[in-house]
Order: sequence, then C-alpha cells, then structure tokens
Amino acid sequence: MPDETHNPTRRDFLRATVRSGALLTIGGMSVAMFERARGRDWVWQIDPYKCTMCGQCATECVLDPSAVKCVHTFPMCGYCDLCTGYFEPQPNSLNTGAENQLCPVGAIKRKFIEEPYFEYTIDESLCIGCAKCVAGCTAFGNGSLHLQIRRDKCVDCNDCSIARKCPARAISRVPADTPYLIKDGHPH
Amino acid sequence: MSRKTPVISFFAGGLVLAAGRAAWAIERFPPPDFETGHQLPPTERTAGNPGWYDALDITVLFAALSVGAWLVLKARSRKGVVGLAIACLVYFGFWRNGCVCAIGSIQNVTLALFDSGYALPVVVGAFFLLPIAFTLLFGRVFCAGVCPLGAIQDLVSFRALRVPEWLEQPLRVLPYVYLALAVVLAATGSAFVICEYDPFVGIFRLSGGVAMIVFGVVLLAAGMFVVRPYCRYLCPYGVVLGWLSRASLLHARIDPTKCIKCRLCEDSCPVNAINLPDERVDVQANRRRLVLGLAVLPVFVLAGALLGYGLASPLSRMNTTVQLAERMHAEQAGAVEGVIKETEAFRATGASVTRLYADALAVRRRFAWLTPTAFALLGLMVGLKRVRLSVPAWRDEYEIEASRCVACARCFEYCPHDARNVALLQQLTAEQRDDPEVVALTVGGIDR
Amino acid sequence: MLAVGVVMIRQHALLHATGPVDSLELKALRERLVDEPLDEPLKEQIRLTDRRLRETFLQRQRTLSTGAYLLLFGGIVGVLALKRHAHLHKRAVTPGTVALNAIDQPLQRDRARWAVVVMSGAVLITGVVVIASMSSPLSSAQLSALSVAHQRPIATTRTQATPDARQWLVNWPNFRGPGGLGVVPLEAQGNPAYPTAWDGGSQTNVRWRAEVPLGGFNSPVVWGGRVFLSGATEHEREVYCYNAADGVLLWRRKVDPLRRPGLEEPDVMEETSYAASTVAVDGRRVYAIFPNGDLAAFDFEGHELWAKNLGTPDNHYGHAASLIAFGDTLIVPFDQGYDDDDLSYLAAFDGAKGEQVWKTPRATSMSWASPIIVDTPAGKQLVVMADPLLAAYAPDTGEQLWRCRGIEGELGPSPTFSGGYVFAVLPDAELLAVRADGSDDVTDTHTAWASDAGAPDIVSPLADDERVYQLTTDGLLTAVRIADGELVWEHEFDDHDFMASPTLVGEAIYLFTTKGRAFIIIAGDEFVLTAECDLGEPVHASPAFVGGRIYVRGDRHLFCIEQPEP
Repeated sequence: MPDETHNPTRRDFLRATVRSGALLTIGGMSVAMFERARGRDWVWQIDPYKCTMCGQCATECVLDPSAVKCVHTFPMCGYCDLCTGYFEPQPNSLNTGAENQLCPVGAIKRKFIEEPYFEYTIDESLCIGCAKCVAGCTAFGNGSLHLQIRRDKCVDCNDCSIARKCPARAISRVPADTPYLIKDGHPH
Repeated sequence: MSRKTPVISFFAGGLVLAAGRAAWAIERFPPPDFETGHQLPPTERTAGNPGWYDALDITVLFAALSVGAWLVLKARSRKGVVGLAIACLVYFGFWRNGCVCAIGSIQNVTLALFDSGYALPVVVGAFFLLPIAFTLLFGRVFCAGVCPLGAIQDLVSFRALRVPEWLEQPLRVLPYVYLALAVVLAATGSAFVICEYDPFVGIFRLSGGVAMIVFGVVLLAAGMFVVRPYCRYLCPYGVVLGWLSRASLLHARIDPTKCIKCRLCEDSCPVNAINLPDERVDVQANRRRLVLGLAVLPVFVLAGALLGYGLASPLSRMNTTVQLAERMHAEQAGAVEGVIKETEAFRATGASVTRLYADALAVRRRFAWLTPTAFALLGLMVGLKRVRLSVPAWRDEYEIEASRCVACARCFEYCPHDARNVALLQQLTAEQRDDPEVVALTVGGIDR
Repeated sequence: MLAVGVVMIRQHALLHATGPVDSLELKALRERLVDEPLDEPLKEQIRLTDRRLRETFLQRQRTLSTGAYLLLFGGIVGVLALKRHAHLHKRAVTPGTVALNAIDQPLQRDRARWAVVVMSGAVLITGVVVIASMSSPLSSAQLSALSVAHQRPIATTRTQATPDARQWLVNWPNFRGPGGLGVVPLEAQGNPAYPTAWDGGSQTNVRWRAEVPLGGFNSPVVWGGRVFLSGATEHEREVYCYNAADGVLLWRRKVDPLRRPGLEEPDVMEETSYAASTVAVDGRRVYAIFPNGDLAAFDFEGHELWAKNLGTPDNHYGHAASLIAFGDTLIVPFDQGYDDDDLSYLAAFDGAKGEQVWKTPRATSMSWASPIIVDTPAGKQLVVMADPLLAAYAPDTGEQLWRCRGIEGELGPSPTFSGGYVFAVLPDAELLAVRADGSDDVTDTHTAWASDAGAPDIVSPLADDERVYQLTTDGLLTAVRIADGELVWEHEFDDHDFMASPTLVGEAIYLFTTKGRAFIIIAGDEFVLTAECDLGEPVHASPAFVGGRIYVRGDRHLFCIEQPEP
C-alpha cells in the first residue's frame, strides 16, 4: 500500500470528504428504500379487460414460445357446444377435426361433460399466446378465455418487451404478491 | 334442466367485431348447472420464482463483490478474477437471465424518484447501491468480474489492441450521452432504453430479438481485440462508478516506493488506465489553459442546455402517451387516413381524449425541464473532460487512473514485485536477470 | 470452429424457414371447404396439412433451443481455442516500444482534446438533425389548448368528503330538486324566506343576471355556491358553472367525446332544444347528457373526468330525460325507439371513472320524463316512466322492484310522489296513483285510483301531503285529492302558457309562464293567488330554490332572485 497517510494532501482530503458523503447518502437511500419498499416487488401482467387480442404477445416476448398463455376462468364459461373460442368462424361440423379448430397449435382440449355441455381446457405446453381463441370467445361468447403472463415461464425482464409493443397498454407492473389478473366477470 | 344450444346462425349473421370491447360485460350463455355434478376445474395460478431468490441474488452479489475486492486488492490474482468472472457470468448471466442488473437499475431508481406510484424493489435497490458502495471503498471491483456484461466481454478478449488516446477520449463521451438519455426517458416513464438495447441479455437467455443478439455477437467479436467495448464506450453505469472510484478508499495501485520503472506493465493495461510519468508539463501554460478552459465551460453547459431544450420534443415521442396523443390528434384532424391498433384500443376504452392530451402535455412538461437539465450536465461533464485534458498533472511515477481501471488484475502479472514473478526471477542466473528480454519472457509474455 | 460455423448457418436457415402459424396454405384449404362442405378428401387433406405444419413448428422450436445451446457451447470452445493459441504464441514484452513514449504525451493530449471537441460537435450536430427532422408535429401549445379542462391536478374531488344526507337536501342536485319531486325541503334548508315579489324590468330583487352562452331548456341545479346548467346548438355542447353569489361564469366546458364514426345526427324539435336534459350533481361532480348521446362528467373546478358517447338515442323530438345521481353513481335513463326495439335501458355509471356499474334493459318506448328517487319504508326507489311501464328499481343495483303496465302516450311529465303514492300522468288522459310498496307486476293490485281531470302534456305534476296539482300547457290548474282522486278545485290562467313545472315552497306554489310571469298561490283546498311577478324574459325551465334564492333560467339569461330581509 502506498505510504501516504502521514502526509494527507488536499486531494486526499477532498476524496475522503466525497467518499464519506457518498457513503452516507447510500446509507440514507438504503434506509429510505427499505422503509418505502417493504419487500414490495413487481411483476408484469396483462389486464384482460384492456387486452385487444392483437396477437403480438405471441411474437414480441423474448421467449419462444411466449410466456403469455391463454387461461380459462371456468365459472364464466357457458360450456357451449359451439364454442367460438374453439371453432373456426364457419365450422364444417362441431367435432375436433383439424378443419374446424381455431387454435393453430391445437392447444385447446374439448371434452364432453353432459348434454349439451363441453369443457375446454388449455394445454399450456402447446399454447403460444396468439389470442385467436380469446378473440373468438370474447366477441361471441362469455369471454372466459383470456391471456395471462405465466409466472413460471416469465423471466421478469426489467422492461417487458411485449409491454413496449402492446397497443392497448394492457401490460403493466403489478405487485408480486398478487401476480395474476385473472378474469372474474367483473371489470376492475 | 334443458337449455338452448347456441345456434350456428350466430356466425352466419356475420356479426362484426366492431368496438367489441363492451363484450366482457355480457353473459351471453349463462354458466350451466350440471346434472352430473361436474366440478369446475380451478384456474391455475402458477408461481414464479420464490421470494427467497431476491435474498439469494443480493447475497451472491455481496459475496462476489467481497471476493472480488479480496482478489484484486489482497491476492492480486488475475486467475482469481477470471474465476470470479466465470462464476458470476454463469450465475447472474446464464442462470438468472441477466435481470436484474446494476446497469438497468439506474432506470428503476430514476423512475422511483420521479414516480411516486412506483416503489423500488429492494433487490433492484441493492443492485444499484452495493456496487457503488464497493466502488467507493475498493474501486471498480464490480466491473472486474461481478457484472455479467463486463465478465463476458473480459473473458473473450485475447489480443488487445491499444486504442490511441485521440480515439479513446472522444469515444468515452458516448456513455455520458447514453446516461443522459436513459435518465430522461426513465424519469418520464417513457422507456427503459438500457434494457431495450442490452446487447448481451439475449445471449444470456439464448433467445430474444435477432438484431440485439447480432449486435451482442459483434460487440464480443470486437471485444476480442478492443477489450470491453461496451464498458468503455457505452455503459452508463460505468460513468457513475468511474466518477465514484476517483474517491475510492482503496483501489488497484502502483506503489511508488517499490516501483522500479521497469516499464513492463506499460502495455499490459487493455483499457488505457496506466498513466506514465509525465515530467514535461509546463506549469505556467497549465495555469493559463485552466483559466481559459473554465471560461469556456459555460459554453459547453449552454450548448448542452440548448440541445436538450430542442431535443425535448423529439425525445418525448418515445413516450407511448405522447405517441398516442399525436396519432389521435392526427386522426381527429383528418391528417392521416384510417386508424391503428393503438387508437382503436384507446377508443374502445371510452376514455376522454382531452384527458389524453392533458396526460401527454404533462409528459411533455417533464421532458421540457428534464432534457435541458440532463444535457446541460452532459455539457458540463464534456467541458470538464476537456479541461482535464488541457491541464495535465505533473507526475513522476506510474499511476493507475482509478476512473478507468476496471480492476481486471492483468497488470499485476507483469510486475516483477508480484510474488510469483519474484520466485520465477530467483530461478534465473544473474546473467539472465540482466537480459531484459529474458526477464520479460519470464515475467509474462503478452497473451491477453 | 467449423462445427460452430455449421451450427450457425443451420440456425440461421431455421430462423428463416419458420413454420407458419398463420398458414396461407391451410387458410386456402379451409376456404375451399366452406364452399364444398361435404368434401371428405379435402377434410383429410386439411388434417394432414395441419399435422405436418404443427410438427414442423414444434420441431423448429426444439431445434432452436438446442441450436442455441450448441452455438453457445461452440462459442465457448472457440474462445478457449483462441486463448490457447495466443498463450502458445506469446510475444515478449519489450518495454518502451509498444507503449507510447513519454515524449509523445503532450502531442497525444492535444489530439485527444481536439477529438473530444470534435465528438461534442458531432453529438451536437446529430442532435440538431434529430430536432430538425423528428420534432413532434403536435406542439405543447397545441396540446395545452386541446386539454384546457385538465390543466390543474384534480385535487378537489379526491379530498372532498362524501356529501351526507343533509347536503343532498339543502342543495338542488337535479331536475326539480331533491329526489326530483319539485318540493323545497324548507325545514332542512333552515326555513329561509323565499322572495314573493320581484321585477325583471327594474331589476327589483334580482340579485344578479348572467348571460348564458348557448341556449337550452334544461334547468339550473345548485350545489355549494355553484350553479350548473348546460347549453347546446346543433354543433356545440357546453356545460356552465356560475358562482351562486354574484353570477360570475366560473367556467364553461365543451363536451366533445370520441364518437363512433358515422353516428346519426339526432332529430331535435325546436320545443325540445339541443340541451333539454337537466344536468345532475353529486356534491363533487357535475354530469351532462345531450340528444346525440354525449355524456360527460366534470369536477367542480371544471376538469373533465370522463366523457363518452352512448350512441344517438332514437327519439323523434330529441332526448330530454334528465340525469340523476345516487351517491357516487350517475343514473342515466335511456329510453328510446319503441318497446319492441330492444333499445331502451337504464344504466348507472361510476361517477369518478365513467365505468358502467349496472345496466337494466327495458322493453319501453322513447320517453321525455325524468327519473325520480323516492323514500319508502322499504328503502330508496328509483322510479322511471315510459310507455308502457311505470317501474321502480333499486338505485344501487338496477334491479326492478315493481312495475305498473298500461302507461301510454308521449310521456312528457315526470312522475312525482307523496304519502306512499307515485303519481303518473298519462298525457292529456289521466292521472294515476300507484302505491309504491308492491313487487313484480302491481298493475291490478296497487293502482289506487285514476283521475281524468286536467291531465297535462308537458308540465310535471306536484304533490303536497293532501293534493296533487296539475298544470296544463295552456293554463288549466287542477288540484286532486290524494285520498280518493276527487277533483278539489280547478283554475284557468287565461292567456298564459306554461312549460316550467311548479314548485312547492312550504305553503306556496310557484308557477312560471312561458312569458316569464310568475304566479304564487297557496297550496290548499281552494285557489288563492297571493302574488304575481314578472321576470321580463321567457321561461321554459323549472327554477331551483336554494337558501332563499330562486335561480331561474330565462331564454338568454340566468337570474338569481333574492328578496333582502326587510
């Protein structure tokens, strides 16, 4: 170590002053931050009531496939035979044939429950978040299908690249302890 | 319990999706009562990273910084720093996907200062403050190998070309510009440009925008010959740490009482941080230049402020609210044909357009004072840089310039006082020790 | 190294050969199927294509991720190899030859200094180019002019406390005052003395007179020292706020929300005006609606909180039903078209945000009657009248409580309420008394009586504890007993026409003619005229009575009438 302690120059004094000042500021900032933050963390989420189903969630996410998936609020679902989220606008017939399905990756499973009800579940390992089914369900059905950012997939970018492109500005930071904005039938 | 099945004619009617926003309020098909007692499946809420990840990140950061400080200042070990760089690159880069990072945290801190609705998460605050605190105490050990962006660049370098000062100095102006832009855009809640144009995060995640990944690869390729191009010519956090490291308690130093001016380390520094002795300084001329330089300083500040004043308008167009207001106005006034997704979505909300204009105006007003302020400061910094270049310090020793030194520890290996080199030199014969070429080869040929 | 290169090229190729999600091939096949719905081989072909595309897509996803790993691995190997190579080909350090010479330093510094200046210049020039080419076409001055209603932060509405029940009584929050009944709650107001004499010509007892920029037959409403009303022409719609003390126009705001392109222009009769609906206030906000369906909310400082267009209501005279606020929600009666058109509804909006809280569809025709909110032992009821229904709703949920069928005609007069009865006028036909304690269909069970004496066509009826007073446009005033529906008395105002509805002030009833003459009569078992005054300006809107002052809207001016204590 250089031996300069015995003869502190003006520059050394200045440096020490700046250093102490800066360290004190940091201390102050940390205290203020902990006071205010209280462990509050943020994650990105889609407000389904603002979403316009533009389809960019599938293409703009840094992940491929996107961290955005379609989720289903079953209590809102009408369990329709002719599900407008499942079937093409002009379905040839109401069966699971590829020519009738809306989902480009076949991620929606249709299951018969009882006459005349069918249950639709999303296979998230296939879903790419293109919102085709959401658009169909919202326009003609109850709107029980909607997009959400899946927390187990999302890499929590500091600046969400889908949010940058979202035309409806539907993606925002939400508190991490309530990370989902799942539809419940009432607008927020 | 019977119920009408929805009819196909629904589609045949060709219902238009016009302004289909109010749709959510409509329960077109009442949820069924199942006779079979079918239970509705729950809507899954998958959990993200557990909360303790934050604590782990902070702990790892603190530990890495401590180890880094020890490696640079105490062990003086280049190999150790390389090991640390690999470890941090794997953890912060590839494992934690490069988010959160200290460089980006500047924006979060700025946003938290300007937007009361945004509370700074503790982990982001820690990533902003810990490297600063360590820099004040031990120099830029964060840059050495803890920062994954620094680490990946440092690790790929293999044959460093020396960038001449006349090129190095002006290029080092760019980070100031970047910092000014990033702060203004974050403070107005417009964009996080540091994150948006992070060249390496795509490599860490092995996915992302092709353009940015290509940029990252190009930077790494350049970094093979020009060490750490991002750190030197772009990194805005480096500006902050560079300034603070001038006031650091300890940092990598050349001990003037031991230095024998063997000149072996002169070319070992890849970031031009070793200053040579300079005894040809004209003190009289210096004084004259200092007065002149300080006199010209207000010109730089004023030029910066004026530039910022003018840039407020174009920069504000990076804000989505301003973009939307502009487009809405153009559409309302008939200046453009048709609508875009953004205005369509806005119309569907039924929100007031005058309110949108008011919001845009509020954003504008923020830009109107922030941009000139930031750019005036930028002018001041550039002016000061020029003054410093005009007024060289008289120096009779080799010195490490703290603000540039990224504590990579390369130079230590070239010093004959390095413990390992002392041992090696002792194995030579007295004759060999007199031959500078042999000494040089023994101490370490250039293989950076 | 070679391996890395190969992986790179493969990667590149794969990136561009994307398995299309929006496959044109599939789309074309599906379109063919629409034309030939029974073509089984075609179906099979679609299924196969779909399967092939999806397999390629998944395959690509997998290859991409493995490719990325391979590339990374290749990169690491490459870097290691290069480093090894450099290490094996070490050059000796030759002190003083590679590094710059100390002698060069001043020269280097000089160059560096100039280079920094050049760089600053470059930054400056780039900046100037950016300013010149990319500045916003929408200047801040323009934005400022466009958003004049919002320029200060909206602090008042956030800080003000929710008004209590007393404030709803001492103010005049909507058409015909508290509840919309036309009765001044004199006791709650602290028994102020209302003027009994004035003269517009000599300005006697006229505290102030203020010009109203745009016309309209809506009534003034008053809250907390502010008087609100609206005005409109075919192309402009505005809301005004006057200071109640001196008549200074505190603010005027345009209502110009976003409208769906191609919105129909409303049909509006001259007798209705482009601003017939009276505004409503809730103590913190004022709401206004216009015949083209424009609906807007402002705070008391004139900041626009929200504005929207509900679509032009189908109404051949022009929408005229007034708004009424209930707590923090705004209730909008939107009866239109004919009862089988499924167009009519009653809706409530969140006052602060403008979001719809509830909406109740109604199978009713267009109506000009305004809603009233009445107090019954079972709670508050929102009573709305339109052909063919007189119905009560829960004001907080919009749920229908009871309904009475058989309401016919072009309903101008609003209902009123007294002693547990809702009184509804069937224009030019009869007056109906319906008990408000029923549920579901009360047509046959709760109709107490019907009177055919002097039913008006426009002016709303007024009720005190014992009688219902009706006034026809051409001046026939009748009093009908609440107990049995018998006619008590009638009086004919010759040569006077009436549009404004009567108001009960304690024992007195104030009537305003269309010429601006006012008659004050005693509410009792016989007709007693106590005073006659003249405003000197035509009056078509019902006045507001607050704190001893009468606020009357003339055709061009807003008047404040106050009689100083003797």
